[in-house]
Parts: sequence; structure tokens; C-alpha cells
Amino acid sequence: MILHPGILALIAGSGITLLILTAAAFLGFRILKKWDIKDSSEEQLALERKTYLVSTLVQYGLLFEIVSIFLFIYTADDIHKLLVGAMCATGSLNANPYGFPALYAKIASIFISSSWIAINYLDNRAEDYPLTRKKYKLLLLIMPVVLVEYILQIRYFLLIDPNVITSCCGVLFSEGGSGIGSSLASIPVRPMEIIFFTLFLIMAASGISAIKYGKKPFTLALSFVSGIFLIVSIASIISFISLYFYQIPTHHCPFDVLQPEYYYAGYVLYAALFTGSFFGMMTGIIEPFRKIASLSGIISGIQKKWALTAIVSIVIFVIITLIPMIFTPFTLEGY
Amino acid sequence: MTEDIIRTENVTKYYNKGKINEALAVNDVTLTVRHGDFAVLKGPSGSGKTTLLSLIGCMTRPTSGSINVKGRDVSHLPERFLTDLRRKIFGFIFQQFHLIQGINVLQNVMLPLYPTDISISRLKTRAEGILESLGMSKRRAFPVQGLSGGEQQRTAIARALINDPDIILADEPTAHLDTALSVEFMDIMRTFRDKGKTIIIATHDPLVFESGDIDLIVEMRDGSVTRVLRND
Amino acid sequence: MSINRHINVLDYTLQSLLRRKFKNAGIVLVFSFVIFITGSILFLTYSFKREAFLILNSSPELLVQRMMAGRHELIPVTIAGEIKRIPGVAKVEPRYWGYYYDSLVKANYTILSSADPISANNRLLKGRLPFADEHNTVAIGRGISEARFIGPGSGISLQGADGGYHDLKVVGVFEADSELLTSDLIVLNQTDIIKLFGIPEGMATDLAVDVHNENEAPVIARKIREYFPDTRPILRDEIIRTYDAVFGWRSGLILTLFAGALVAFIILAWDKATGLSADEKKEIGILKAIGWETSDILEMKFWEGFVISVSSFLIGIISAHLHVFFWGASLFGPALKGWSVIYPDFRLVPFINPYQIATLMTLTVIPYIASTIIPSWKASVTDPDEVMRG
Repeated sequence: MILHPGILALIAGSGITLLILTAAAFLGFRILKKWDIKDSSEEQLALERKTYLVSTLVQYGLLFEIVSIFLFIYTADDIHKLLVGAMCATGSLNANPYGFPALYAKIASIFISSSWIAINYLDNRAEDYPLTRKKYKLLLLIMPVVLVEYILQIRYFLLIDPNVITSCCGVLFSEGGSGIGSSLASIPVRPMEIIFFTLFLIMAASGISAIKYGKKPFTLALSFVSGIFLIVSIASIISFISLYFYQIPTHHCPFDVLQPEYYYAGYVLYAALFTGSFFGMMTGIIEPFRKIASLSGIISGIQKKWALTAIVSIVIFVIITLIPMIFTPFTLEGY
Repeated sequence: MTEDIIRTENVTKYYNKGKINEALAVNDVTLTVRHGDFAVLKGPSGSGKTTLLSLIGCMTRPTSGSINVKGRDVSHLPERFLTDLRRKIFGFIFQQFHLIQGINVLQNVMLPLYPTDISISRLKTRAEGILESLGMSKRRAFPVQGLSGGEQQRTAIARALINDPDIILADEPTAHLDTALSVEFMDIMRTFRDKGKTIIIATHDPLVFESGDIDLIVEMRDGSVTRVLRND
Repeated sequence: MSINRHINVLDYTLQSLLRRKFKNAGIVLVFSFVIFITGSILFLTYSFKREAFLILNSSPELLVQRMMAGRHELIPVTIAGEIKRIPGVAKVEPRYWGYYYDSLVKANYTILSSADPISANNRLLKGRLPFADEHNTVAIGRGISEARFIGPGSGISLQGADGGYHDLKVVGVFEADSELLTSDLIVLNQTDIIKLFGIPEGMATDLAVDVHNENEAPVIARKIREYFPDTRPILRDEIIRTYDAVFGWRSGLILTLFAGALVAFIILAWDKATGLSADEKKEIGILKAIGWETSDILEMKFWEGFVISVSSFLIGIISAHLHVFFWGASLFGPALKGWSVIYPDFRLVPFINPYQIATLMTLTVIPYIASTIIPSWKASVTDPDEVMRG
């Protein structure tokens, strides 16, 4: 199993990402110990130069992580033919207890890396590196997450046994079954649609007021709603959005929408959703930094930019979900 | 206006501090340059005038002491802020010119502003204007390897002007020039001073510091200032 | 908008890459080669897998063969009627097929009946299939046509089980979506096959079973085994899985072997990146002195890596594509095909998807870029005033 080219690529690629992010975390730790912005000695200057290396490493690490998460899903999809009962990526991931946790760990590392980059961006805008300590402490958090992700991934692939029967999205997300997947799939469609679109409007509204006023409580509200919107959106994708793409009332798989048959709509969908909710959440997360003298002048401007990015992204997201709803004859009325 | 544009207080710079090859380049220098000054840092090689020039020009940070540029303390600024300031305020002419080989005159002139928001076409127009005012228009597509000494100098000057700086710094600008070109250089500098720019030249060439209408002469030896002469 | 600065830096990077043509061309050449090899391996295996899948798609969900002493034997057709009574079974058809060894070209042919669905699924290059009531006519695969230098209108003589020679007229030559299947195929009328092989009456080679619901196939297979213990029901899905696993395994093996070369290349890349010539060091120093920031130099290094990677990738992937799909993958074919048959050449169906591209990129571009991170950084943090003093 391990010798499948996609799996080899993942192990190599994830290994490299692990190396890069661990190096970044260690460097960050060293910088953290000796950092003194008031010091003009050459050691401090050397540390400042090292900060560029850390941010470069994290940026590339994030890039590789994003490539690897798609590779992971695609590999899971590719090997589904080898597993009894699996008809798509969902079935493959379900083949042993490490599949889905590996995916969640990947999503977590992407979010942490992205938030680090965002905070780093903020830190660089002030003249005295006010967020450095917080920043490198956060970086220390990345390392265990990436390590866990790597281990989970390897265990997942090692333990795949073609003879063990796994259940596919048909079962996992079936309306009659048990488990979270099924609960999500069996939520009645109408209420779910209402919740989804209402939440979208709330998020848009808080986003627009965050853009207009650039301070709390609007920024905090946006943050809060973005987090909820992310969860609700994923649930909605499983519950009804994917159905419109597949035009089959029982196909709830959240991964197949990445396939070429559906014009790769999944990529734009998930990219827009994650970008939008990420920037929405970050807008509020940086609110406490307003107290810092060197940042107080620029926080508002940055929050407005991020809120704008968030709103534009989720608008794109919602438009894409609406396209099959409006333009295909398929309808869920009556289901 | 006679406000201070540069002010240093007890500025000291060590290289390789704490190591075997520790060197004290600038020792406890306090001086003031006024807006519109035509100033000279005078001293033999090793006197610290080049290092002082780079300290003033935000190219490096002092080991101790403070430096104020246009009223702003730059002593502890991170690199990106220093660079930003440098781009806005300073134009630098190096002793060796330091033009980039392999590209032509125009490109060399435009280069300092590449990593900024200005579009290439606007940058080109500006560069061509400056070259024109220095009489270098005909040579603008020439690769810099083929230029004469005087042409290289004028390219270096043009490059220092691309960002329309308030302060022009020149390090031993006449070291590789004959008398005629040296005189020409000083004339060009004078026109800039007349336009309101501040000029600071580090040199030990008498042709420079003995020419008339120098407002400030700072004499240096072994990293310290020995004498300050102001022409009021 | 701040896009200008990125365009400008990219512009300068491209210019500076062109100024050092030889060094950069060298890297691009080696890198393209690495990608070419890796890409060829990937494309080849993928195509094989897809071909196998295409073939198998047209075969029945369930095949029932009779076993005797562990070997495949002819099966009595009467069993078909009993199988048909199992709930869930839609259709049972006896199949007549076999292998034929041609001593002239020392190759094995597969002989299939014209009634078999596999025969029907293929487009013919020239001519047609034998008609149901026609005798002594055949359609042959391209491989046979070229090996024996025969075409529509020619004759081919096969020795039957009775020792005598059956003269057959070629009425069609296959051009299939999947040449893997039809290259060595001979299609005959059903009665002709029975005569050729001397299959006794009431017997068939095996039985093809169609079921109503695919998911029920394993259940039905179990029942068949129960009722007829000397039979071996084969699920199409099992075959697909086996092919997939074998091809995956083989390509993984080759890739692993190639990994050594890849590592060597990475070391080369690192070395090249760290060993900045004095010239390049000076240039970066000057850029920093005239107002470029560390992050600008880092960006320049990023674009360098990007341009080199993208050009190498395109060159490598396009050559790999041509190699595999137009030149028959002469370099690796045998290792991956793994069986000895008479295929003078063998054209695969061109196939590419984003998954292959992502896999290829992860195996080649990512390690390359990763190896340049630290050297690029080292180059970018040069102190601007070093230029002054140096």
C-alpha cells in the first residue's frame, strides 16, 4: 500500500513540511529566549535577521500544507477502488480510525500557520516588534500539531487493509444511520437552508459594519459569527449543498465536489469558505492588540481590510453554492 | 529654514564587538546638520567618516547613542522601517559607484525604486528626465561596463536622485576622478543644494572641502570628531 | 495597487536569470530530466491502471469458472439455468474463449467469441466483426495484423484441436480504446470457436453472470460457491482491485529506486544555491545598499525558484507526456508491463489529471524549493553597509 505513488509523495511532502515547521519552531524558541528590542548589539541584529528565516519557513510550510491536504484527499479518493465498500474518498478515510483525524489535524495546522502569518504581518507593521513574544509562543504550538498530523497520516496509510470492509458516504452520511455524518445528512433540508442563509446575512452585516466602523463590538461580532459560519457551512455542504451539485438526493459526500466532473467547483468553494471565515475570525482576534501603543494606529485599518476580504470571500462562496440551486432543474422540494 | 535635519548624540559604532577583530569605527560623535547644509566630513581613511555616513544614511544601526533624522529617532528601528526611510529621504553615491554590471544605464537608475508601488512606465519617465538633466540621455541604453569614468559617475548620481531625496550622501566621490570631473561633480552638487537639498560628503580631497560655500566641515580622526567648523 | 512592486521585482529577477544563462540553463536541464523520469513513471502506471479499468468495465460483474484439481476446467452449461434461479441474477450467458499459441511468431493469442460483449465494445480500424451466421471469418487485433503482415482480405490459418488447419479470412482489424486488450485478440463466430477448440457439446469455457444490483454481487457469489462447490466465482471488483494494487506497487517500486537520484539532485540544488558567486553576492549587496529590503531580496529568490521550477516542470511534464503517449514509453514499458507478449509497439491512451500533476509536483518541485529556502535567506540578509566597506 505504501508504494502507491500518491502516498509516497504525501509522506515525502509531509515529511518536508514537518521539517520546515519544526525548524521554524526551534528558531522561534531561540529567538524568544534572547530577544531584546532595546539592544543594539550584533546578537540582537542577528536575531532580527533570523526572524526573516522563520517567517519564510512558515510561509512555505503553509503552502506545502495546502498542497498536501488536497493531495491527501485525492489519494484517499484514488485508493477507494482498493477498499471493499469504499466508493469515494469518504470511504477510504473511514477505513481505519486514523483517516479523518489526520484530515482534521491537517486543517488545524493550516489554520494555525495562517494565523501565525497574519500575526507576523501585524507585528512587522509596528516599529518595536510588540507581538514577538506572543508570536513565537504560538509557533511552539505548531510543532506538536504538525507532528501529530504526520504520525496520524503514516498510521493511516500503514494500517489500510484492503480486506477490511469500510463504509462509504452512502452509509456514513445516510439518513438512516448513526453517527455525526448521518445526523448532519438527515437534518431536514428546509430548516438547514434557512439557518445557512440567515447566518450568511448576519455575517455579511457584521462584516460591513466592521468595515465601516473598524472597532468593537463589530469586529468581535464578525469574528464570532465567522467561526459559527464555518461550522454551519460545512454541515450545510454535507446536508444539502452537495446534493445540488451531484443532483442526487442521497449523495452527501463533501469530497466528490472536488472532482473534475463537477468542474472542480469544490476547490473554489472550500478556498472561499476557509479564506472568508479565517479573515473574519482574525479580525476579532487582533482586537486585544489595540491596547499596544505601537499598533493602536494601524489596527483599525488592517481590521477593515481583513473584514472586506472575509466578506468578498464568503459572497463568492455563497454564489457558488447558489449556482446549481438556481441553474439546474434538480430540486430538493419534497425531500 | 534652519531646522536640524540630522542630529546625532553620542553615537558609537563597534564592528565585531566582543570578538577578536573588534573595531571601534565611530566614537561618541555628537553633531548637527541643518536643512539645506552643504556639509563635509573631513578626515583621512580610517577616520570613521564612511561609517558615520552610513549611520546617518540609515544603512546600519549604532552600537550606542542616538540618531535623529528629520526629528525622528532612527536608532532602534527595524530594518524595514530604516529601508523605508532611506527610500524616502536619502540618495547615496558610493565611492566605487557600485553600478550593476550587465544592465544598462536607465535600468541602473530605476533600480532603487523597483520594490515600491510605482509603475515601471512612470519610473522610466522619471529616470529619463533625470538623465536628461545630467546630459546622459544619449547613453541611456548603454550597458554600464562600457561607460567612461565621468559617465559612470553621472549614472551613479542619477540613481541617487531617482527617489527625489531630501538628503544626498556621497562617499569619497572624487577619489576616482580627475580634476575636471571633480569640479564638474561639485558643480552638480551645488545645483542640488540650490534646489533645497542637503548634501553631506565624506572626503579627504582638498578640492572638495576647500571649495567655497561649504556650510559645515566636521573633522574626524580615529573615529572621533576633532573639530567642527560652521560657516554662518 | 501594491501589485506593482511584485511585477517590478519579477521583472528584475527574469532579467537577472537571463544574465546568468549557463548556470540557470544547467539547473533547468537537470531538473527537467528528473521531472521527465518521474513523470514518465507516473503517467505510464496511471494509463495502465485506467486501461485495465476500461477493459474490466465491459466485463460481467460475476464470472463463474469450474475448477478441477486447482486448475480451470470447462463448465457444463446446465449450471447456468440453476444459477439463473438465484434471486438477484439478471442473466447468465455461457462464454466461449481460449488461448492459442502461434509458433510462427511465438506469441499467445486470445480467442474470443463475437457474441462476447468485449468484442462488441470496440471500434474497428478497418472492416467489421464476423456476422453471427458467418463462418470462417475473423477480426484480429493490430498486434497480430502487424506481426503476421495480414489485413482485411488476407487469410490466417489456425491449427484446431483435431490437428487439422482451419483457414480463416480476416474481415476486420481492431483499433480499440484499449489496445492492451485487443492487440492480440482474434474474434470468431461462436460455432467456429467450439469447432476450433473442440469444445464438447453442453460445455462452455465459463459463465458470465449479470446481476440486478452490483452491491449484491458478493452475496450471489457466495451462494454460487455453496451450491456448486467445484466452481470459482470471480468478482469483477476483485479483479479491478488486483490490477490497481499491482500497478501501484510496481510504480512505487520504481519511484523508490529513483528516489536516490532525486536526493542527489536536491543536494546539487542546495549546493548551487549556497554557492553564490562573488558576483551575485556583490549584486545583492548593492541592491540592499540602494534601497532593497531583505524581504525584497527574499521575494526575488522566490521568483527565481518559481521560474526555474515552472519551466523545468513544463519541459519535464511535456516530454514525459510525449515519451509515454507518443513514443511508447520505450524506457520503462517492460518493467511496468511485466509480461512477455508480442507487442512491437503499444499506444496508450493519453491521459492526464490534476492529481498526477499534484503528485508529480510534490515529488519534485517541493523538495527543490525546500532546499533553496535556507540558502536564499542567507543571501538576503547581507548587511547593506558591507558594500560600503568592501
